[in-house]
Amino acid sequence: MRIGRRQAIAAIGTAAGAAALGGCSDLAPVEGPCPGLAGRRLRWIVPHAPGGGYDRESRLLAGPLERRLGATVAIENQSGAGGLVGARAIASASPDGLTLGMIGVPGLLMSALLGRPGVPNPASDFTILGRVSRSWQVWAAGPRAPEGPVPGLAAAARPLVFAVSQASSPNIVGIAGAAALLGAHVELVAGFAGTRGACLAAIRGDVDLVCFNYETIRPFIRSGELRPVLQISARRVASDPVLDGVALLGGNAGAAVRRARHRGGDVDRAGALAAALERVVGGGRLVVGPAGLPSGLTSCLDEVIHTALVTDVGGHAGARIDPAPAAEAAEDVRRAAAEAPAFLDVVRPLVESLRR
Amino acid sequence: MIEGTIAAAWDGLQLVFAWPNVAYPIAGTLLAMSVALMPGISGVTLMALALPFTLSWQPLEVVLLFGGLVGGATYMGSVTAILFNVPGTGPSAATLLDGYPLARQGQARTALGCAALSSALGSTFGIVVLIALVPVLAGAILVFGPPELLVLLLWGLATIACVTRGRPLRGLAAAGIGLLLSFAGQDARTGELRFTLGTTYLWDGVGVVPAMLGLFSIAEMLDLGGSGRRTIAGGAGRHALSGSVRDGALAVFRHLGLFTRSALIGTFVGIVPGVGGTVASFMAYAHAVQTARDRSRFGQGDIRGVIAPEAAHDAKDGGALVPVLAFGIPGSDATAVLLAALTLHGLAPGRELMTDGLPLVFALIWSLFLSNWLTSIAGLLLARPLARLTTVRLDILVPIVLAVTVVGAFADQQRLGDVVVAVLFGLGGYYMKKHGWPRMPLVVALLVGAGIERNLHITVRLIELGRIDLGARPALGLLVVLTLLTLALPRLRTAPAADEARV
Repeated sequence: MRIGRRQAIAAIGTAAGAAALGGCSDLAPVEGPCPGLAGRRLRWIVPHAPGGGYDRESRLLAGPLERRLGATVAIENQSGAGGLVGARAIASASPDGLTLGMIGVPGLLMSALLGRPGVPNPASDFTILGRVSRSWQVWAAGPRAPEGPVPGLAAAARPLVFAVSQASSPNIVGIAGAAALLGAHVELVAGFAGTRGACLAAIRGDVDLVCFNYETIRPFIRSGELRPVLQISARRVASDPVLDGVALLGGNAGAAVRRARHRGGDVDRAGALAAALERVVGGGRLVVGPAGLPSGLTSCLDEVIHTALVTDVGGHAGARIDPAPAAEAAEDVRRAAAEAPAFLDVVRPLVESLRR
Repeated sequence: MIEGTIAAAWDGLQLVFAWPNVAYPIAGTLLAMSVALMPGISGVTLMALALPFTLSWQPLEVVLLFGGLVGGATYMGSVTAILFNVPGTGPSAATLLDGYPLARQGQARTALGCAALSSALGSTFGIVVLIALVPVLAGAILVFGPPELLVLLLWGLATIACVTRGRPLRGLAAAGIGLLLSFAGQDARTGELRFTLGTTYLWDGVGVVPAMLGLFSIAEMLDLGGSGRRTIAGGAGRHALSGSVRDGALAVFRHLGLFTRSALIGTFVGIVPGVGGTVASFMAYAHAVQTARDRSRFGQGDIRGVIAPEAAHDAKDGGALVPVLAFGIPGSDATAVLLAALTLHGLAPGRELMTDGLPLVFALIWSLFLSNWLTSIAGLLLARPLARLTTVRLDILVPIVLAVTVVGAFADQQRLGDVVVAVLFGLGGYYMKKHGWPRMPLVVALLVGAGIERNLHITVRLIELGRIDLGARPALGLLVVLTLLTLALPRLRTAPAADEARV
């Protein structure tokens, strides 16, 4: 595993140049497809700290966007309050196309469900310019969880104990929503240090299960430390063989419908709620600008961003994206925002139980 | 299994030191060191900037470069702590407690030399332990659940008792203030917002880095500004400096026992996921105070107060890679970006990486090792000219350091609120310094308070749900004994009051 000398010099030179010239904006070409943006400096707000998924995807996208727009994309990490600070910064910016960024839909919907003040509505307080990725949540069990697959596991004699990082985590919607559809009794333990901390708790056997985005916990599942038991989706969330035979919540043959049929409940309503849950927890990460972007600029940015995601970013092995154009993403978000309150009755009691 | 690990360590070593591979960690280290001199760009920012430019690289190249960047990113932290009382990084805050008083006595060269060698040897110690324990470390991490973390952090808090015995009530009060401040923000257990004063800035709590910058750096500059001193060292020109780099380096060997124990503390804390280097440094410092026969010089320029935190801080780096690589749990901002770089190149943390990818893991470890030595050698070489900075006139130095501190407070997270916190803590720190209130208890409590609360709640909840049996956790028992010993030992000793440390 040796590296060629030229390759090494070029690579190190690139890194040094990147670091040295990171802030130089005059090197970008001045022509571009979107009127008013070529040669300008775009603020790209990342609502989380450097190193996370939002930051990684933003930095992957920034280079191709610079080339395609002829503008400079300056990334600003405005972390804080679980992404709310950055989201607010985008929503309150002037709608001139010079301030864009990413938001996480499930987090904003969860904050709104909890009645937090000043939470922007992802469906109405932004101009949606495209979807970067979706989150496909799965329930994954540790070694001390009751044996067997869903829905049998959900009917266990004792409550299923889940680990979550925070009481405001959007994953609680995935836990509470799916548990209600399956008729499972669940308990939460909150406060673990992030996704990985919660997964370690399940691996140690301190709790039974976790509910997270599949991509995030895939290494634990592939290594056999966690066992996937439920996909909160109507179709497989990934092509990994390890998901063979793992129950789907949604769809006509999904666990929600089967459970409703078994209990003599409203099968249609169960199916509709399972589909709604998939949209709410899977809202994913969007590229947005402030509400009121001119329509010409919106459609131009939509096209450029989608092309960059599909052509430039999607080809990279480490980028696990699921891009969608603005119209499709906006429709998904609109439906998710409208459907999220349907889960209020199951989310609130679970969060309240943590305060006792 | 151990043969396989040694073979992988050897393969990793060969990978790093083969030409031109070795150029990557060197370049990373030099880049990070250069950037550390520029106010407004932290090592973490540099790493984030470099991320997209490495997309087409091979995983080995990325691992080597980022190993260098992580190692180099901490450079200057201890240097500025010693020279100006400015903790460049969280862990270096413990170094300034005795490093800066040495600089004030004109012995900056001694302190810098000692810090450089102690950190280099500490890094070596951590890596050797890591190599020996790699086969079992992933399993060892699982031993540390919420009850163990709770007691470990309580142990950290207990260290306060060792260093504030001169003024116990004031120490206790300062720790209480620190704990109170650490509770501001979102309650992770319930999601409720507490003491946020209506601002979203405080949802994530009081920033520890700006708080430390204020408490130590701004407070010191305010104090120096009104002290009537001409320079930090007391006089102008070379004659104002005494001691030597050699004296400092030799001090590490004179206190080899302390160095070894501190490095062990650092390695141990590094392995525990989510605790961090700042806790390691303060714990090692407190250990140095606790085990010293004569404690009267601590806080006033005792070289042992430099050896211990520096050894622990760098020894921690090797151990801290284990939770990152085995479970993807970063212990610092720098390792968070490192994790992002690994993930981008398809290197997912987990058992697979710790078995099949072991040579690559060791390439990263050796790259970090090389980087730590490079920064330390640079520290040794630059100690003499750097020490001259303590003879710069204060009317020139104070405004510059104040400006750099404010910019540094902002640059860490790019939040204006951090500057406000730094200034407020600066004023508070100035008051504390002027009126003889210890600041270290406040910092330690602020550092561990949120973790103690979180792990206490999780532990109680798990007991309520019947998920854990505290009696069946041997690691917990061991930590409880260590904590009790920490609290009891100072009382068992018969040191006269005059020998007590005042930090």
